[in-house]
Amino acid sequence: MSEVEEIMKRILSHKGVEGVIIANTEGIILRSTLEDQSTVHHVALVQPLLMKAKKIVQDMDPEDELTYVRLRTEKNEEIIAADKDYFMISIQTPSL
Amino acid sequence: ENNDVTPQPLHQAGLGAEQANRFLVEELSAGSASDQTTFTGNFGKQFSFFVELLLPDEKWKKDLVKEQVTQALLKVMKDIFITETDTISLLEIAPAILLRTSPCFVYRERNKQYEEVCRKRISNEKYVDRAMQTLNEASKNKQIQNNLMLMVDAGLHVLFIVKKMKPNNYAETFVESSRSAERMCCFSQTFSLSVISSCSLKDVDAVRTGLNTQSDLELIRLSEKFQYSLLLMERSVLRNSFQCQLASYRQLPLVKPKEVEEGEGRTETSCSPALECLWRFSCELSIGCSVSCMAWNQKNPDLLAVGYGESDSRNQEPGLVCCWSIKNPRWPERIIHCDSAVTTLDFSANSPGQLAVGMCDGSIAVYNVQIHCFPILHIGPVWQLRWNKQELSFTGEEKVEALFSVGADGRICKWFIINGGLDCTDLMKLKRSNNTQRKTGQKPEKMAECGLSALTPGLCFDFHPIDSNIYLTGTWEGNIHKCSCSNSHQFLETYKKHFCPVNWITWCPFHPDVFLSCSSDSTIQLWKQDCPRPLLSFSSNHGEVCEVKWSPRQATVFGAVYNGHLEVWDLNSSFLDPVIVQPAAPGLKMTSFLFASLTDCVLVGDSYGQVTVYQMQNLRVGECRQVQHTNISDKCLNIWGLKGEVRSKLEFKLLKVLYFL
Repeated sequence: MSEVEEIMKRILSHKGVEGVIIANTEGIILRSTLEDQSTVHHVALVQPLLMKAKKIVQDMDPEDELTYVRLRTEKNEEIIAADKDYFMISIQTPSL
Repeated sequence: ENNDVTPQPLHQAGLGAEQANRFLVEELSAGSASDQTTFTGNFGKQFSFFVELLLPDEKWKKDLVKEQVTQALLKVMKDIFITETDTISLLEIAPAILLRTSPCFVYRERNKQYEEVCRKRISNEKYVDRAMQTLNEASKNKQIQNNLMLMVDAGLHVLFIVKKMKPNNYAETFVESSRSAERMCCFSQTFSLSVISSCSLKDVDAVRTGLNTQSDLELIRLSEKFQYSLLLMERSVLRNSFQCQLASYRQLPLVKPKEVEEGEGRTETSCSPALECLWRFSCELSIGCSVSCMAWNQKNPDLLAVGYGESDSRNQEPGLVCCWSIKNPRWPERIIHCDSAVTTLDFSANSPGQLAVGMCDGSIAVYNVQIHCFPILHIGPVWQLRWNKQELSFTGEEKVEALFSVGADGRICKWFIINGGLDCTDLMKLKRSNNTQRKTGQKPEKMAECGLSALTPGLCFDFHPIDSNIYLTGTWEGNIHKCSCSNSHQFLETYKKHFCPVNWITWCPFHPDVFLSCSSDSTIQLWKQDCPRPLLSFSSNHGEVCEVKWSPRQATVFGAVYNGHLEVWDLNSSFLDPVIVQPAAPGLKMTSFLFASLTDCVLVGDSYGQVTVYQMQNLRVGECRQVQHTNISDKCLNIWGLKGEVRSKLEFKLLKVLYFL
């Protein structure tokens, strides 16, 4: 568990990272570094996207699994790492 | 007096028809006017009356028919169908669904008006309150019976997020909890919605932490995959900021950020070769320790192992080995803490997860870096003296890999893995050449006590790239010996030129007979295998040369690191001067360097614990992979002419012949 915390700290301390949210697939928020409202907002919006993405992947190849989704917008980038039981969002404003 | 108020019977059996007729008509008219409610009750009688009047002789038939019907009814089973009528909709008002943003002024107005009306209703005379009562008729109980249907309760899962902004800006969030499936013999399809209605954020927090502890357990369970996701996350976050540097490392076209394009005007497009710093590998653990050695992984070209430790300090500090990945310049992938300072390390080619580490106190450890680094084998100090260097080599015939090492006690050993430990056989003992002690020969027993008497410390060695039986080794005295694995008593050849300890030897990867050596006498010598004298020598006054290495991509390029700077030489362009000279940052000493195998980059380790990645720019890419013999020979001749070195004619001719091969 401490390793997990360490890695999370390192990610957060990196330049440009605004926050990290960890939630399970049902949408229950496990850990978040942003404030509650925006966390809930993010999770509520990302969750159906993830479901759709998972469906896409599984439809195309039933043995395949979604690992990773990246949403690049004008202002920042959301990196979403997904798994069967949880997903993790990190929001970064990259320098590029 | 004849006030006889007894009601006349309606039916008079004995009367005549006419009388009855008149009577009936009167009765009917009277009856129809007054009492209509009991019409139904008397209907039967009147009907029978009618029948009787009109067809008096059919009265019998009617009775008979009635009797017949009743008897038939008893016998015959009749099906009675009860059906429902269609649903009659009495009132239907469809709801109007409006978006908050759509123009709904009309409805708002109407709502407002309605509210006004409601408010004014109390004092308004137009509206009167009146009570009503519904008739409750007597209820009748009916029993029914049917088969028992088993019901299963399946809870649904709905996530409501309803935010209602109260005046003091608290948000209410309704979060529904987990699902439940229970068998209940009642109506199915219940929404198990536990509404956590809280009016303050504190309560929400409390509930969340309650959920958290439960899910934290989940976290621990999922930890492996979770770690992988974290790893991915870290790498991608880093990749975003290091995108430019990584792209130029991998020699991909750069995507210029928009701001930089306008701002900086890249005026300097210098054509002279230079080193551009890309990034630095460093973390808190490694800062302060001096980099002593670096090695690439054979299988994964992005993995770099760096060994830290001061090899010539008196205080024995524990050493460190970090495995860095190009994809993460901020934190090493693996960290190994060693007991003493690390002097050398090498990755195995056969099993790319094995990393052999040699330490200052004479011990070797082999770590498996794929599974979180625990040492597979660790031996106690074999040698009692200091310097060790090991390399894993690859003997071509059997494709067996063995670990070789050379140590300060003058032994070159080959290590085998037996029964969980390492066992060694001596390959060679480095004898002192200019000593009277040569008579004593080799005394293996004495080695442990007086290590330096008969043998001289070996500092470096390198196996031939093609013929892995042959190797070169450099000694403390300055001699370079060529030896063979099969002959452990004699050197095949000795090259003498250096008069100080030879620090590094390396074969040229492109030309099989050429090798470079560097030593503390601040010279670098270029040798050819069968020639006892060096072909070229590069000298400087800059102090001892720590390491010299050939570039894996270009045949004529090699680099040398001194304590104070790094030099990159290109034999194609110049013999006298290095092409690039990169000074060390003030206060730092460069201790080790490495060429990148796939790109034009150089990694330099310094005494502060940082490994800096430089990209070589504008270095003329060699047109061919072979040493251009003819050019070099011409240049050699010129230089020798200029320098006025005396060379025997025999050597001169030999060289010419060799170069024209």
